[in-house]
Amino acid sequence: MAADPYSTLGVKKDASPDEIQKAYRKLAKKLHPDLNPGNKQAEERFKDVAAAYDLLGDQDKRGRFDRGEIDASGQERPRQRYYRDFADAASPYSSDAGFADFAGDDILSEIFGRQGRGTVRMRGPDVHYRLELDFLDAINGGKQQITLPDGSTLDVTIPPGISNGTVLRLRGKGRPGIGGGPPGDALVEVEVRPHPVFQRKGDDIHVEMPIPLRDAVLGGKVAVPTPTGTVTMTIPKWSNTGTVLRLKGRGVPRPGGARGDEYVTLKVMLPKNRDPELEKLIAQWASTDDGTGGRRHAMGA
Amino acid sequence: METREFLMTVHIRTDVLDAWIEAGWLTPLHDGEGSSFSEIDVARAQLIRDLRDMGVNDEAIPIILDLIDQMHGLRRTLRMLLSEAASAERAH
Repeated sequence: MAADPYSTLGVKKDASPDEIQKAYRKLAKKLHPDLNPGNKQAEERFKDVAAAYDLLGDQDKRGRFDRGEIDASGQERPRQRYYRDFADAASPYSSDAGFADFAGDDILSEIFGRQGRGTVRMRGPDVHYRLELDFLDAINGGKQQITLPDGSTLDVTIPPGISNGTVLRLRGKGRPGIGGGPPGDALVEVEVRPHPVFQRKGDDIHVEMPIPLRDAVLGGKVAVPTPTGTVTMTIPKWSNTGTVLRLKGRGVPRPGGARGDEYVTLKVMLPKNRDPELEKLIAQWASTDDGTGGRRHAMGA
Repeated sequence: METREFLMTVHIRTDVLDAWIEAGWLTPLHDGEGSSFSEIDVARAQLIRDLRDMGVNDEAIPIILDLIDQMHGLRRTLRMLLSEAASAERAH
């Protein structure tokens, strides 16, 4: 871009950032190659406009340009291809809705009818399915089967750690193509059922773990459920309700092999049945620190 | 390409990408290793980014994408018709 970026955008040298943005938007709406799929000139002009805006839309770069520290050259965007370059490629985004109502037209039917000769090929439509997964199946992954309305089945490989709402694309498992075109895809939306014990937050698993009073005071070992089985966890001495312990790498698998963590929130339990001995022990217990930090009295209890 | 490379190529943040996928604007391929993006996904994401730079709001983006996809379908059909017509002409 050798031309003056101000004149490319059609603004004055002292234009405000707002005016520059406005000028860019106005030109970009008119010139963006994807909004002008048939206009080859639009691309060149849009490139200049985008480069001018990259320079003037950035306060810091604009200042350096105005002071002569940098010039307008070398500002071209290293731009990949535009969306319109893929207009003819079979893609998940292809839409034939624009001429769906022409299906009965003689000329079109004739052409679609002759597709067997290989001149015209159209990709088959996509089909949408829903798949309900148990919590642990979603975490651990594996194979699932969907039964289709016509009685046939579709095997779906569930990647470990899949989250609720993920859409799996099964290439070529949609409706057959027309005239030897490729079949569409099956899009499977995954719905993960909640679990009575585990809660998922991102890649981490949260569980609440009841522990006996004895372990809370003296420390001990408890068996904790994780998505991959039970593990033994050491409870440090004097652990209160609400203490959160981390089991590293016991959470949800991430792509690439690592795993999130499991967070275990302790909940101290009194023995189920009244224990006169424990009551006696506590009655003799002389500590003035009752763990409430004095709030018990302040609240008028 | 995988997610990391895609984010760097398109210059968007992870949460932005997640929102776009959630909204159905992008449908990357899923395999055991995570999402995988094609050149078409890159071009489409850059288009979405450009549209937002132009001040197009999130409500309008799916409308524009759908119309562009329909327009591409129509152009494909038109090109098909023209080539059919041309070969019919040659046959006579």
